[in-house]
Amino acid sequence: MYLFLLISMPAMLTAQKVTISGNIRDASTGEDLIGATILAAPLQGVGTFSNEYGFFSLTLPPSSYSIQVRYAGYRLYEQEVDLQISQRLTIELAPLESTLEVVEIVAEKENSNVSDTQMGLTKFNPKEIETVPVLFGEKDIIKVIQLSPGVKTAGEGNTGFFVRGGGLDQNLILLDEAVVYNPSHLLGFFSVFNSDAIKDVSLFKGGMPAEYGGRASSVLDIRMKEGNKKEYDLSGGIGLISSRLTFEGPIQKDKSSFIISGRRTYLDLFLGLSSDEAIQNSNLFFYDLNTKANLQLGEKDRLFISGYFGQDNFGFGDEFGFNWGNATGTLRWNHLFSDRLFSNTSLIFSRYTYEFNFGTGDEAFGLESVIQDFSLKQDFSLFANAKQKLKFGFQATRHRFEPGNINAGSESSFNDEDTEPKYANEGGLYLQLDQTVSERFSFNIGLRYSIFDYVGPGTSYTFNSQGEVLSEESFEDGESIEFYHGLEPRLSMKYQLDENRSIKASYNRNYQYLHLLTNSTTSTPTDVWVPSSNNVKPQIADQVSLGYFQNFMDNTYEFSVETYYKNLQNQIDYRTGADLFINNTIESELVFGSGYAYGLELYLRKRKGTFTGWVSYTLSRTLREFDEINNGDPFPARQDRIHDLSVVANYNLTSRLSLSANFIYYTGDAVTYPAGRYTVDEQIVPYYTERNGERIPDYHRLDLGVTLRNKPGKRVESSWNFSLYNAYGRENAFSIEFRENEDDPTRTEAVKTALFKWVPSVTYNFSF
Amino acid sequence: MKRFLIYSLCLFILCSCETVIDVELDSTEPALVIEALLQEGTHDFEVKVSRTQDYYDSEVIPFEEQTEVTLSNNRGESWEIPQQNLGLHKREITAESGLLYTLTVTVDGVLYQAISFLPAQIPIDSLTYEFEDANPFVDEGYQVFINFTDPLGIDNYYRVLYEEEGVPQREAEDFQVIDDQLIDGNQVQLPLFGKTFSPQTNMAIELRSFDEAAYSYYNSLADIIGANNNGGGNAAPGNPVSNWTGNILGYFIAYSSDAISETLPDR
Repeated sequence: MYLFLLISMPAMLTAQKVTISGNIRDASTGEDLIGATILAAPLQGVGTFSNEYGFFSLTLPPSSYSIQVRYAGYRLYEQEVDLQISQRLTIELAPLESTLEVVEIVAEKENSNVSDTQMGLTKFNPKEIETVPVLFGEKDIIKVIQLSPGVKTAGEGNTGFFVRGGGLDQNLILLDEAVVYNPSHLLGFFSVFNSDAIKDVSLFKGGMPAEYGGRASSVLDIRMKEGNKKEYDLSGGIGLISSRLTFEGPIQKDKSSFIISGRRTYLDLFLGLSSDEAIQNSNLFFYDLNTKANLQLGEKDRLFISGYFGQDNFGFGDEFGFNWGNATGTLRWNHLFSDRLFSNTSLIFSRYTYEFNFGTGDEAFGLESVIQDFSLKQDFSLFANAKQKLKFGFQATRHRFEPGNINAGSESSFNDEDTEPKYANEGGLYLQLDQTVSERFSFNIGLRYSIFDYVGPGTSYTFNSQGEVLSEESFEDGESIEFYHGLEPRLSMKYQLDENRSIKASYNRNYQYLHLLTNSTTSTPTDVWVPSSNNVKPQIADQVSLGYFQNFMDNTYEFSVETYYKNLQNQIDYRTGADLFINNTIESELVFGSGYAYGLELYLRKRKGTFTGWVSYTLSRTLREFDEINNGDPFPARQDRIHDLSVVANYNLTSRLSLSANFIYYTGDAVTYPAGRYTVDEQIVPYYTERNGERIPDYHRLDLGVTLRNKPGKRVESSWNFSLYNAYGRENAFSIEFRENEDDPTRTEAVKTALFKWVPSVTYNFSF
Repeated sequence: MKRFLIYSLCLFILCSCETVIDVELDSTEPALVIEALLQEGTHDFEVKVSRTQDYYDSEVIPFEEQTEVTLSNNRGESWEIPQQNLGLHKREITAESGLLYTLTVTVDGVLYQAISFLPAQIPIDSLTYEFEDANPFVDEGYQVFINFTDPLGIDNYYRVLYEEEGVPQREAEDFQVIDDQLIDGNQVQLPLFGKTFSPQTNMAIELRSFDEAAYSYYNSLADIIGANNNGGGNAAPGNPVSNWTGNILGYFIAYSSDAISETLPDR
């Protein structure tokens, strides 16, 4: 196959054809538009999409064409082009004033969900979901993604998520290509992604393109806004928990721009009002800062610099401090080698740290943990002709893990001793081909070759079956401790039955070389990332999926049904009572097994009209099998929620007033309940037999929202958003604990903890 | 840590609530539990044999099977531990540090065995205390520290137990087990975590030393009863890591200990 490609490549390049290429942008802000459809009428089924940088290239026989560009939420763009020699265009699409307009103006088809080869893809842009009611009124793209099929939340109000039965750590979360290791604030209740700074979000649940690698179950690709190239814009919002402010504008009109967007919580400001000095000196906040600048350097080059900094700070006087946060940075250079060969080179930095401090001066004790990456990524897109697009490139990453650096004062009981840092080099090389075979049939085939080298300086350990150290060996700087590599084939296919219906199939294999160890059921700041090593093998996922896609009533309704089966190798679990905190031989606490997941996902979405929204339903199972757990029998993973239903509705009552509602229902998590009790050590102790053999009660909840916009045409656009989370006050179980009755210690009982019963909130948004 | 997380959670989750609910639990085949603690020096040595019962069953179900118990060590000494009544064996034993003890229990003809090493006593140097004002983590009162010297280069495992006014404190939050990974060879000043005590309280504190298997048992037990709770619940509930052969519950732990008692001063 690949040999064929290489041989036929020169032929594709030299065919007697001309190229129309250029960029697609938003007419009001100059923002690049990702994934806009470009069609060349009157040719049928000939077209392309704008890439992550708004660039497109279409090579056609010389003729006259009507170039049509479509993008959800924008007016249709049409331009007659007499294409005799290659041309470059900058196309600006005018945004629709409101969703109400859609029906009247874009009578044309918008059926990319049917016609695109990619399946298992969920796309949102923050604009589309503005009115969805959320907890505390904090707009959060991840919480909306959790309402789509195949995606499950990690728990009440939590931003962690599971995709098609995979683990929390099996999602590759990218912000402008940089990996975000801990995408949550405040124990997971808020994600680090400030909607104001985000342009586009794509979640790949299956059939991932070969350009992505490193996680077993999904890719969440988040792209930041570039900033308004036309005019200065100040926007923001004031909410219950936090306030946001964004400033953007041109550096040079129509050519370059910048954006700075910040968000900070302010609950801690009230602490200052306290009369207690210790409380006055306390910290309790998080913030996010997103910045980006892009520069046009001549016709063929563009430079992007983007950065994200976010931190959670908790502190109580001098006694105690706990901080954590991510920092990422991306420097990107787009270069056009020709109007058909697009290149992007990225230098990427990512760092996650958490830190504790106790006490002061000589008695102080502090602990810091760091994971840090430097990456170089090179991608080429070759727009060979209207039917073939080739993408290839590589990525190289240097990982550094510092599981626990201890800072102890001279009078402290603790040793000033660090756990050993670990190093690893990760690489990926890929090639993928997008091929339109006929008007009906197209496929995307790709191959990724990934390598992972766990290197010194460091010590490797071997353990016996009880987890005791058998031997250890020291390695020099750069010496390979363990080397893994793997081939990851990817394939997606589409067969279009007619204009409104298609069938798609895909297969993907993904390798995952980094693993998240967590002691608790939801993600916490102290979770540890560990590299694959002589003891920990890479996780491998194989997934096949099949889907049927149909649009109804002139693409007003989108419908899809997808099924999948996923096999997971080298899954990780823990020995009972595993100690994951500051432990040099942390690997001895792990046990290894396999898993599988399968499911059916139904999705019906109404995109146009006064009433919009979607219904998503997932029927799925996900199981694990470990020799050491549950007597070696398969057991359900915690997120094995058999039924999962989300209904999201928005009704535009008038152009200024809209009402919205969500309803969520899912089967309770699989949990382990005691099968009996006994007394040892003068304590009543639960006796467990089956892992995850029971279910907590089913979860359901209704959220309501009202959005009121000011009169159009005013200088300041503003809106009020009111929402009520968990409107009927369902006490959903966050956890169920079994414990002794407080009055009668011989009696034992089950205690349910519920969070978030009726949470009202109000947010004011403005834009100058 | 636990208190801190709860504190921060409480601030944000103003509406969290706890309710006692009915959860149906299946009955299961009762499992065997053997519990035995061997203290250095001359003390009564007790071996308790029992079976698990249904979780909501608060009546103690008497043990009605015949058992035989033998204690031996690696110096070739061996003792029959006579049965007091069904499920309880008892005898005075003089245990010495530096020896490996083996306990053998036969229940209905099936033999179970556990081995425990008795390490040397680690003496408590002193108790110290510091007065703390009230803060969101603790009430006003004395924070109490136990001071001892960890021997350098040897793996040590400790458990701290204490009595307040003569009353043993055995709540999950009082369960304190540590290894010396971070304190090897140090003068250790270990607080009774997350607690303060009123002036003039009589405190009796015991520091126990035992082997790694015992530490694993206590550490996993602490996880299960919620003493190590980190706010998010336990990811992998299971039974504590027992040193018994034959996949049964309970433990045999040989330990040495030192104790100190002191009355906290006036404010």
